[in-house]
Amino acid sequence: MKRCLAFFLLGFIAGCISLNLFLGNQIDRLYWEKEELRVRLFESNERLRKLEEQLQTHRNPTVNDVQIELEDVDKNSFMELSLREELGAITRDLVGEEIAEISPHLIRRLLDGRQIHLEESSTYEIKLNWVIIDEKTVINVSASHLEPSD
Amino acid sequence: MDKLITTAFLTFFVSLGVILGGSLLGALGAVIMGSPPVNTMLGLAEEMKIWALVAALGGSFGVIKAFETGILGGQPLQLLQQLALVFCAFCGAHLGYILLSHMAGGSS
Repeated sequence: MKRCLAFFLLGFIAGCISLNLFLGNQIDRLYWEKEELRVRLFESNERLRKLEEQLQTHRNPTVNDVQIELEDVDKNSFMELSLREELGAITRDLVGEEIAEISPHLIRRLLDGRQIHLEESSTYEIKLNWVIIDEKTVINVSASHLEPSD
Repeated sequence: MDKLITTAFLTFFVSLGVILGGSLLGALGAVIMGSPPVNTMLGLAEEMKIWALVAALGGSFGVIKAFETGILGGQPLQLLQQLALVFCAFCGAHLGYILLSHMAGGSS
C-alpha cells in the first residue's frame, strides 16, 4: 500500500513537472504580460495624477461664492432676507464662471436700477455701490423703498 | 581504478540529479507560489551549480583535505583523482543546466 502511494506521489510529481515543462513558457509569458500591464497601469495612474495636478494649478480661477451686502436696509429684518434671497437668485449664475470672463458692466446692468417686488405693495429699487470680482465675489448694493404710484 | 570510475560516474549523476531535481521541483514551487516557472527554474539551475558540485563530492572539506594530502604529502595521484572527480561533478551539473535551458526553449 505504501509502495503504491509512493509511486502515486512520484507519478503525480512527475506529471506536474512535465506539465510545468510543457506550459512553462506560456505561463512565463502570461506572468510577464501581467507585470507589464501592472507597470503600464502604474505609469498611467501617475501620469493621470500629474496631469490632474497641472490642470488644478493652471485652471483659471472661478467664482466660488457671491456675497451680497445690503446698505440702507434694516439689518435682521425679513425684508432684508427677502431682498438678499432675490438678489442671490439673480446673481447665482455667477458662481462657477471664470473671473476673467465676468464683465463688471454686466453686473452693473444686472443690478443697478433694478426694481424688486417683494410684496404686492412693496417695491425696492436697487442701487449698485461697488463690486469686488474674485473667487468670493462681494456685491454691495443699496435698496430704497419705492412708494406706490397709484 | 575501478573504484575511481565508479565514484566518477556516481559523482556525475548525483550532480546532474541535484540540478535537474532541484530546478524542476523548484519551478513547481514557483508556479504554486505565483512566480514565473521557467525563469525561476533557470535561475535555480544557475545558482545550484556550485552546490551540486559540493553535494556530489560529499562535502567540501574532504576534497580540500585530499588536496592537502596530494600537495603536501607528495601524492600527486591522489590530487589528480580528486581533480577528476571535481571535473565529473562539474560536467554533470553543467549538463543538467544545458538540458534545462534547452527544455525551456532557450540557449545555454
